[in-house]
Amino acid sequence: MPTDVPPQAHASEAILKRSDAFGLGDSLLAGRFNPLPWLDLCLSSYELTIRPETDALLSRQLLETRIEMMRHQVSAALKVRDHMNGRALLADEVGLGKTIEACMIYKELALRGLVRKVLVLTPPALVYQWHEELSTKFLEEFTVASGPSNKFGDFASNEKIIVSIDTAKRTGVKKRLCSVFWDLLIVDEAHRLKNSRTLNYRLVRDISSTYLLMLTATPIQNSLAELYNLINLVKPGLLGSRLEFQSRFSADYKGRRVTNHLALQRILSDVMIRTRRNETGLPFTRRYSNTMRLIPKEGEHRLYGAVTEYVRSRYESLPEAKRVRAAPDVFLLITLQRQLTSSTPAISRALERRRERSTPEGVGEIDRLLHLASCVKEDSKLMAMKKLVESASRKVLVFTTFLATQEYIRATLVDLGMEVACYSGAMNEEERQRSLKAFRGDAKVLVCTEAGSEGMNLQFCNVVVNYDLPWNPLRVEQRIGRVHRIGQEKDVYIFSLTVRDTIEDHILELLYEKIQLFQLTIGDLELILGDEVRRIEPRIFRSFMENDKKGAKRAIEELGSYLVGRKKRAESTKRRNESIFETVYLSPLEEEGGQ
Amino acid sequence: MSRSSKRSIYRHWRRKEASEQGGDEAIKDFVLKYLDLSGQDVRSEDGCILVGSRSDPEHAHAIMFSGEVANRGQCELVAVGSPYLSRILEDTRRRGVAAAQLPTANPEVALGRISPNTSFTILGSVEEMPRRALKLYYLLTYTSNKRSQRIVEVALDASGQEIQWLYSTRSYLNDEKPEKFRADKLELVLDGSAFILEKRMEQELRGLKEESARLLSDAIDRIQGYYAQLRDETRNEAEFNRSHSEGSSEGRRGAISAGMSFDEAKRLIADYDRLEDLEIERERARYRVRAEATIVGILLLSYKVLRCRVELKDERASREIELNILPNGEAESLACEACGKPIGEIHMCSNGHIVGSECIVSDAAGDKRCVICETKK
Repeated sequence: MPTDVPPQAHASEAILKRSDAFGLGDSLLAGRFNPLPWLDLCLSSYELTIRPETDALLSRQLLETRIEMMRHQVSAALKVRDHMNGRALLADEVGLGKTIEACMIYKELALRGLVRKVLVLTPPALVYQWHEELSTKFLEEFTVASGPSNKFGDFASNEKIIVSIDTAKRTGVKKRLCSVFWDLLIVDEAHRLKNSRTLNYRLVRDISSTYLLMLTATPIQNSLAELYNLINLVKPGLLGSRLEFQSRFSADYKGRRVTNHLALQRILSDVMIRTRRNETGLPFTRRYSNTMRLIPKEGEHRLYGAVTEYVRSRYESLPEAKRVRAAPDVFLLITLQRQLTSSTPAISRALERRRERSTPEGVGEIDRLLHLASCVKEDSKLMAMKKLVESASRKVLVFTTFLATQEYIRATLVDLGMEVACYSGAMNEEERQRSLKAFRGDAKVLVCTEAGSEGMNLQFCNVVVNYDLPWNPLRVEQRIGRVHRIGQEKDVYIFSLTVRDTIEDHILELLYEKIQLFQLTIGDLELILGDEVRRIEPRIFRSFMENDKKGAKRAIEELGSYLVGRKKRAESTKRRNESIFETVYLSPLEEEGGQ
Repeated sequence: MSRSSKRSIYRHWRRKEASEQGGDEAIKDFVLKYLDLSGQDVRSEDGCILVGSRSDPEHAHAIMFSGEVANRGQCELVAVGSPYLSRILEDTRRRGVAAAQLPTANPEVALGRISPNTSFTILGSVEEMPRRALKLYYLLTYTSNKRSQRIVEVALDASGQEIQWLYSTRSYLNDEKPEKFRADKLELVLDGSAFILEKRMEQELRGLKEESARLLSDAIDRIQGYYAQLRDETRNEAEFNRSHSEGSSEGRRGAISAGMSFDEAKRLIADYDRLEDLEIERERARYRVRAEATIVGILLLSYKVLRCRVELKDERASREIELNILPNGEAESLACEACGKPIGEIHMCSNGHIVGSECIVSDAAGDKRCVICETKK
């Protein structure tokens, strides 16, 4: 399909392009003939993919086995396909699966042969999440364009690209993105384009695409003008000039209240979809969080102190520049510190690997730490988890970040006579499916690492244990999101294990509990954290490495207070959107009359 | 609507969706035929279909056509968009070239159909003339803001002329080992087929163009109206600032001068002009109608045309004619002596004129007469 339409091309100009994609002419000339039934089969193969206009999504059957397709998502996809000409602002309330909705629309357009060149623009923190969702749930492999711009290759030759909006607006990258006429452009967290004078807005305005999907739960941050700007990207001129729009639809000069609801609803229904939670009829269950702050045993306490000191000395030996820009060396130390709080086997294995690469002078120090690790006889977290799992009457999903901890937990529970399944990024697809089957069947516990867990749908389970805790709140939410997602019909119980006075413990107490992290959905978190999410891990680590214990706690508390402030602002934005759209119905479900 | 009724609608929808997951019969038929043709071992087990060698069951691949069964049995679901089906489609589509031979007509039987009312005798021997033709199968795709596709068949001889009678022929055999097709002839045939396709598409394309032009015109009106309004507002604001600035006190002038100047307005208007052009070009690209014809199948046909001299005779007249009999039993290029159109069924009048059914007309008395000589048939 010719997709690179030159801008000077004239509309309504028919071009009959003749092609022979499979080289059949060459086969004929070379006398390479197949038996007749193959020709018949070949022709019927096209009948399978040429479908007349149909009410259903072409990908419905395939996607049903991979994702929980919700009625509001299917309706939205059909509406965008059939009535919005593939250009829409998807503004469902938080937690209703806008990403899935957008991917469904993409898959539908792709299966119909309308879309080949796709560009996804996301906030930096969500780039790999999009990549994972598209790959595991929609079987679509995208290229992530990251790093220096000269490493991206040619945008024109890469057909499916995910790029962070920050990378995309760099001058060289933007120029190349704008030189391609994309079939589909997807912009996630589109409220970042609220201001028409920003680089973000101009970037999206300057990229040409046949179809455009913009995703946000909060199209209005402060005033109606922001909604106007977003709609102007989807369908320029639909709302008239800014002055006209304001005088027609804004009830106050700040644009915080709407007038002429029905007229606005009529215009927006051509380009915008907003489904509210209460319109879906979906069961939304609660989350109950329980943190277990455990007192360390003597051996654990000594090991923690010694390894933390080791990490601190290594951190202090790094040049200031590396520390400030959180170079890879810093992340290695963060990982070591996290392995320490994860489990003794995890830190032991890490230290052994470090020992192999260490200088002769360093070996002695590492040996001392390994000796301390070998002296840990009682493991407070493991004991607590054993009790927890033994007493649980339901299936339990245990999360850890590290493979060594995963194996440690598995072996312990198996020793107790339990049936345990494991799931990790180190397993191949067949092994993973076997594990999931076992967990659906007789296994009481699934011990899982974050890597590779993205595509799992585990709504049949409602107990989650965080054996260790990521320092990135998004990661925590992604874990809980495996079970607490659309389709979960029971309340979800989350248990988090920490050992008192460790970094993890302070993060849990001073940060996560303060912002009530365990009650937030991923959409909420995105609203609260924004770009801050990339800086949280190194910021926490720096606080601990550069301060004494009191100073570190104070720094974490300050971060907590800062995030509480952001949370309040995010909640106020959500309320503003709820209030403005209270009387403007834009859900495809409403149009179906709730059928 | 209450929460409980919404919830029950949701559950009803889930049940309805689940009941529709019976699988796609067309896909199932297609895949099973493919597996059969490619000689793969297929057996049913635990609701799944196992594909692969019986002797090495470990490496058998489990597939299913229903999502529900696929989930239960850990089989790979085969559906539109699934990798398994995509691989099969790709493989099948590479195999779309075949050759076949059409059976030669029986001249007696064929003549019986061509001349049902007049007796005939074949004079001398029947000569067999070998011929070759191509059936080209095109995937025709129209793309504008929407897209439609269908398979179109074009039948031509080696000189690129369309052969109408070949369209209804399906009774071919496949026992032929054909010679290679010459490259120069292929070009000729392809050009001929493109010409035929374009003629066939003409009307369809006109409708599509009209719809696209209407949508494009709406979009351009919206964009032009919008930017015209922006330009007006900008000019008015600059004008307002100038007039108020001229007649105001110095303090007020200072405040007004913070508003838009004429130079700024000019720059802004130039920017609007640029954006307007860009938006219009984008809309043109969105609604541009494209048609693409991809060859997806080729059938090389060999057949024999029978040339014979035939004497037609009844009680009042007789004629000798030369006939080419096609494999479908029709006469090739036998024209009506009255109107020149091809004859399906021969009628001979008492003066020996050979005409088609349309040129034998009934008079007031109900007698059939030849339109050339008006004699009774």
